[in-house]
Amino acid sequence: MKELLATLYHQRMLVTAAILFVIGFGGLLFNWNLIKKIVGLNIMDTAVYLALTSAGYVDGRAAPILSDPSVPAKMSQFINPVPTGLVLTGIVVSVSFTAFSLALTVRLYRKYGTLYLDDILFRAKRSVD
Amino acid sequence: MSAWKSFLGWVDGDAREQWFSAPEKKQSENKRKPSRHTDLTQSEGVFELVKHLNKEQKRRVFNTLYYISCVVVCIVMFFALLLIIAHLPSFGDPSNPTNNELSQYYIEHGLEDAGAVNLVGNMILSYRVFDTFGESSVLFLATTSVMMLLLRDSRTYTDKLRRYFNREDKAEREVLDHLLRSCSRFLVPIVFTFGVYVIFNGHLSPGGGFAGGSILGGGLILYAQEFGTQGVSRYFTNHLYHIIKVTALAIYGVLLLYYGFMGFNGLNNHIWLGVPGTILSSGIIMPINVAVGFEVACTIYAFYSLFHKGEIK
Repeated sequence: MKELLATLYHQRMLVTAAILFVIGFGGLLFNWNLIKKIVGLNIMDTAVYLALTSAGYVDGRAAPILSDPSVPAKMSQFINPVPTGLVLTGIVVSVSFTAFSLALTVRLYRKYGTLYLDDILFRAKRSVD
Repeated sequence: MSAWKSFLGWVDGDAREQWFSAPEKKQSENKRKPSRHTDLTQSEGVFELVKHLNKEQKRRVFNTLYYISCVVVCIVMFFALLLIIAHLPSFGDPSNPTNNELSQYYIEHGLEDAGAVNLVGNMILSYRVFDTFGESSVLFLATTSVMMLLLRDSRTYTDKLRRYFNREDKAEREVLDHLLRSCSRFLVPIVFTFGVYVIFNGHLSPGGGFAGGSILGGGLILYAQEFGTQGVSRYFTNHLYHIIKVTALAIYGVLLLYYGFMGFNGLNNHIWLGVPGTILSSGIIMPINVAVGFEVACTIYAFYSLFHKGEIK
């Protein structure tokens, strides 16, 4: 048990990411309001970014920007630059997805006059009948 | 009809008619063909209990069960994630499998191959320039789909919406937020200058096209808050928006095609890399940063303007 707690303390970034992920997932499940669902999805995105950036971190190394270009760079000086680029991709896709889903929500609100998913489903079903 | 039988009927599509049919069809209920399933289960327990409740009580039971199952799913997911985390490579260890020969090559040869001091900029705009072109296209497509959904046209622009937009315009003209106006009058030039600085220093410092473009777009939004969208449309019109957006993506595409056609890094591609660490260096990275910056600034402002007004002005 003590060993497990020590492991979890050592992996504190990933534990934080897991907590954020579950908070976002809970927000997605518990709320019927579409805007709150989108907020929950964004919190889940944040958790994934935290997990990715922490995968690239190495203790005691600097950010991958050369301070002196004349000295050849060594692997032992800098952290891993690959996950940083992946996080950039993730942020761009998340922004696009958020804007698209918010636009869909605006159109649903104009059609049905409510943001609550169960009301929208009820009214859509009634309009089919 | 028991719950199990109605469920089977729903799976077979028998019950759809009952749910979605017009009222006059419902009267001829006895003419409907009988369900193909016999009542196999002498259903007792939960289904029997639910059968005697009315609609409101059924809804309440469903909600309670839904919330309980959600809590269970979240807790199980959290502990499953913790279990996985305990087996993952430890945080900050140099011997992790992610720190492999790929990142070693990017760090040790990035400067001579691509020429930028910022190694992340080297990676995303030179080694993986095709991937970043995909990102820019995703932004372009996102704006296009938001425009499809929210742009005012004759079919979607109803009287109700027209009254709403008129009310918003009136409020924008008449209600003056003095704090916001005086603050943004001071802040907007600083924000624009900082955005341009971040874009043009993308190969020397943290930042680049995406970060700087977001700052520029935020500055445009602040300007629109201060002077209204009429104020922005004095120099940033719909026409100019389309020109900038398409030109930026086209410049990026042309540079990418040239770079790919000449064989990417390491071959003699006639791209002048410049002196590392100065502003005019790093080959195609700085022009691509500028193109991406304008693209992202346009996208951010277009999102604001479409959600606020239903048009880009």
